[in-house]
Amino acid sequence: MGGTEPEDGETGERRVEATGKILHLSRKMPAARRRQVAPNSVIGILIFVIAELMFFGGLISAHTIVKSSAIAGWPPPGQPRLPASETLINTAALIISGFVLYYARRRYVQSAALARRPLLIAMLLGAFFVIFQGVEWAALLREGLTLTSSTHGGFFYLIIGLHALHAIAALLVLFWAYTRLLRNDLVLSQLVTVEIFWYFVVGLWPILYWRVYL
Amino acid sequence: MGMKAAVALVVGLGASTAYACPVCFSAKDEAQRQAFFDTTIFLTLLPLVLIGGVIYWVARRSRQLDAESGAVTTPAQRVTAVDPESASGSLGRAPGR
Repeated sequence: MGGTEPEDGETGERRVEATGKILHLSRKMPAARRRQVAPNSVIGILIFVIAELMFFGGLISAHTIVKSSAIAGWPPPGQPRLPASETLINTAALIISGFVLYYARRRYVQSAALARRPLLIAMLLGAFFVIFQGVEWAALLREGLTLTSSTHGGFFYLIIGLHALHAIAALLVLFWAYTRLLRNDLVLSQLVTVEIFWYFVVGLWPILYWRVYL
Repeated sequence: MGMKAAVALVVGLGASTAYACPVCFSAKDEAQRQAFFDTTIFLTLLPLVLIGGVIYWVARRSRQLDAESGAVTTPAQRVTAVDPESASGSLGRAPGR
């Protein structure tokens, strides 16, 4: 054809001379593609949630092994049974709070002021869950289930206690988001970050309930 | 050669079995063996699912942003005509300059 086609190996670009013009065939990514797919806070919370899920995965696995090797049955003789039916109430409250928070974000996209009430309701439902858990723990302690009474007690307070700690932390973050919302100072990425943390707390709970309580 | 073969035979026959997961074979009954098996599968798949999920989400979000901004480029669009006189940089410069 008469045109030369030199290749530049370092940059990965190629030029073609033809009819007095130089054509660039760029293999580089266009500049517009180099952009952030999600805010740093969202990526950060996702990494945190993945690490926490692995942590809880290890705890659940250990609990499963110990439970399967209990010769005299589970819970061990002399240890109280966990209040599975009563805990269904706060399980429901926690799951509903997740849906309400999702609704709050949908409302926030329309108008920040519209998200105030659903965010408050989600927070109150979360607080109900934590308080109910505290009442349940007090009753179990009175019945003799302590951290050192048996492996049953040890695993219960470790797994459920760590989840409660996460629930309290997520509640505090929800409260922080709510106060910012009241000041019209909350941005969407902050709300989404808080939302992911709360979904982690909500989504993990049914698995823990199934493995530990049932 | 014969000595080496004899040593290899003695070592080969004398070695005991090494399990990849020694814990899994210490199960006392079927329930415990099943628990070891289930948790091994669970802990193997969990990080793959989590990291794979994030990669899938990032890829999908990236495509979504591309679609929103109309920045999806085809190979034909990436071929841009450059005038040799106005081109700058080593690739844009006409040969011999």
